Amino acid sequence: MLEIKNLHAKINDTPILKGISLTIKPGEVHAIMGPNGSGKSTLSKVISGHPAYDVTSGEVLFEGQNILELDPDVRARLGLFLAFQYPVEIPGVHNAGFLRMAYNARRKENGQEEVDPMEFDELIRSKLNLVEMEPDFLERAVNQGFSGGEKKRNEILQMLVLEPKLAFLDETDSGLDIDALRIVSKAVNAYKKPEVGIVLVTHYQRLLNYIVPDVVHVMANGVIIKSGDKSLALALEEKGYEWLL
Amino acid sequence: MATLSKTILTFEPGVMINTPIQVTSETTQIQVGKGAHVDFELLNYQGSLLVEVGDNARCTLLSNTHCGPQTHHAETIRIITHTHSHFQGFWFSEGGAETQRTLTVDVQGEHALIKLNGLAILNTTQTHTTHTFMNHHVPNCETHQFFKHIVANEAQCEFNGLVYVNEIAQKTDSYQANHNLVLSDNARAISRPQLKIFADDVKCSHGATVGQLDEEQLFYLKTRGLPLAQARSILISGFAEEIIDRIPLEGLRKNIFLQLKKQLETL
Repeated sequence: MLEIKNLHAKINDTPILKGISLTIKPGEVHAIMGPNGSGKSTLSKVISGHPAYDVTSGEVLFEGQNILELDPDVRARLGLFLAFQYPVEIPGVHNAGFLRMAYNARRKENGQEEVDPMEFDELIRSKLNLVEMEPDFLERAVNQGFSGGEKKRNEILQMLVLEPKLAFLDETDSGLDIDALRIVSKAVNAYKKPEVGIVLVTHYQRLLNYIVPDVVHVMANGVIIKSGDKSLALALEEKGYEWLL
Repeated sequence: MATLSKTILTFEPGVMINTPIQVTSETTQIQVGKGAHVDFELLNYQGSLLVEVGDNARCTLLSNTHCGPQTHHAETIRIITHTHSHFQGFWFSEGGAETQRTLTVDVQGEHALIKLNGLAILNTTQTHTTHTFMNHHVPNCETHQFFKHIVANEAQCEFNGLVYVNEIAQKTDSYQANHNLVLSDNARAISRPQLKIFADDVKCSHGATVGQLDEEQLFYLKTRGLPLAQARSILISGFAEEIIDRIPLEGLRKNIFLQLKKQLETL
């Protein structure tokens, strides 16, 4: 469903991605690991269309379509989702209203009727339970004054509402305590299905004890230096990145 | 023959009036007696008005200006607050060619709480100037100012806010904020917050920002599938709603909210 071919990207003339190739099939969970500055987060941002990055060569095909020329909102409505490492605070914008607008944008794209606030309220209750959030989260401004863990749970809530085909979770585990990590993992596992691809971008093996990956990639200096099964993550946990570099 | 050109509205001590009283430009003075509780709505108020809020009185004033594109609007309001009084003012403006607004508060009684809030949405070549003068004559008062402007096209806004704390006005707690959202290269926002403090035991601060829509916020909304136009409108509306959400009078808040939505569609 996602094919990345020899992707190069830079920010302000500094090359960050130096030839990434990666294929993700429906139903697979991939983990991308690597030391700080290896380009893991850049990869998620380039795929979701962040304007600060320039793609200098390569292709990204999503369900056969090259998405690199598409605006971020078009990519999202095709079914791509990025859970942010640092979710953005938006003062004055009501969380429930925002979620409903995003949900409706997706429905409109699929030729479905938009839902009104009453219908949306029903739909969101069960999703809230999955991430163990109280309904008053919905009444607050988007991410404003949320704790680190609340922000990450809000990202996962958005994923559950928008039902993407492919979700990139960028360091969703960073800043989470063990309870929040359990809640987030449970929600992600509940979302796993044969037609959905999930990419976990993470520093730590810890997350992979809860969400078990089919494939583990190690990135360093803008390229994937090794791919393997889940045992690779365990080896990294034990030996660090040094032996691969 | 003399013509009656001045109207004075007087509210006896202790009266409680639940629905906001509409004030026209005929009125030049409002007296809210001790312990009274009265709210006011000013529609396109032009001219000069004095509002005196008695001891322990509560008063909310909402001034709503939406005039035609050729209108030159001038509004001067002076507020005098007495001991333990609460005054809250909201100024909402859109439309009009030129708006000049001067708000003066003379804080004359201790333990008063005063809040001034304003929101202006400017388009085409409209200009809008607000002068506030928060003058603390006595100790132990709390005053807040929170003004926001949205400027599009070639519009211009200016905020001049002066917080003045006399030597005697110890324990003053005063805050002044002015935030401006500039939506085009040719629009302009000028902010001049000033503090003049002659007392040594006070808490005073101010903050002013002039900026465009935040690129990271726009990107975040877009990654949730919202097209650029909708993402922009959500952010602009969120910027404005922070002021509107503070209006305590529900009916008026709803009207202003609808007016805002309509206005934002034109940006």
